[in-house]
Amino acid sequence: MGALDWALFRMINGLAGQWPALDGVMFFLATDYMVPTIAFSLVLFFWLSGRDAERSMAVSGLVAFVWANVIVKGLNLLWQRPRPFTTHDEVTLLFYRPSDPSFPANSAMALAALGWAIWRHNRRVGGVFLVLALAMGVARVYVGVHYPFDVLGGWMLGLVAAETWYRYGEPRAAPFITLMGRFLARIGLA
Amino acid sequence: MSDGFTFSVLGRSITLLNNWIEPRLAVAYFAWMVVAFIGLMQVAAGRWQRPTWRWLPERWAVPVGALLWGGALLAFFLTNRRWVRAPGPATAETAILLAAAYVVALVLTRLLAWGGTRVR
Repeated sequence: MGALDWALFRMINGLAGQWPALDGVMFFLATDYMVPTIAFSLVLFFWLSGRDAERSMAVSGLVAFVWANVIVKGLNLLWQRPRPFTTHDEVTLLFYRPSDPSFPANSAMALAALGWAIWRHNRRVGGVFLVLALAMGVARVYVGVHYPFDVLGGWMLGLVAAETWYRYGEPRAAPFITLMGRFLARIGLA
Repeated sequence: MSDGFTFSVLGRSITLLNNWIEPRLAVAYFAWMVVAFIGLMQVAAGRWQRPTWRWLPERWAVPVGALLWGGALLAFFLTNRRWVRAPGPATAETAILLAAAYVVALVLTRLLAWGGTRVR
């Protein structure tokens, strides 16, 4: 498993440093600012729709995002996988050295959770989020800060987090979310 | 703010919101996101037909708002080229900055829309 992970890592990270244009694109996809800003802006766009369905979709995505982050914190208590650049010399690092554990890839997990929760409401919009999660995950491996299995694990855990919320949490919370959305809209916050 | 909040779970301590690392980057990100969200709110106001949120003429709300959003994101990267390669705020910290930027943008948008109505 570790050997396969390392082989995949070498395959993707091995491309880094060869084409400056590709390095630039991957760096911007991997930063904490580009993809998260686009994702949050999309959520905000639907939150401001003034319609119950779109507002519920946005809230559902945000709750799945928070739930995924809680799971990450819990997992980090149990296992702290070192980053590729701390255990291997043959890593082309195009990024700063993050200090938190490598598994799971937080960004991949959070975006997958957001995307899957939204996909359950609107497949076209959810699909955009899942493509963003895919792009950021691959970019994080390319720039050398995650192993591929960190990203795969992040995506899987994100999907599980969103699905558990969608199946067990959202049906109970839906009336409250609708009422809260209407109340916030009435006082001018949504 | 930089020390975060520490609490203990299962005998292990967890610190939250301590990972701002490069405060200059966090402040610049917050400021540009306020501008970006002001633009985004105009796009939403135009697309979802919400006149109480609109301070731009109806036909300009979507294109100018989109330009403001994209321009602010671009400006953040261009004005912080040196800093975006340094460790910035982590996921939870970024979420806090985005939420704060939303609130500020919301207040400014409502004020601009209200002011626009008064002038008209």
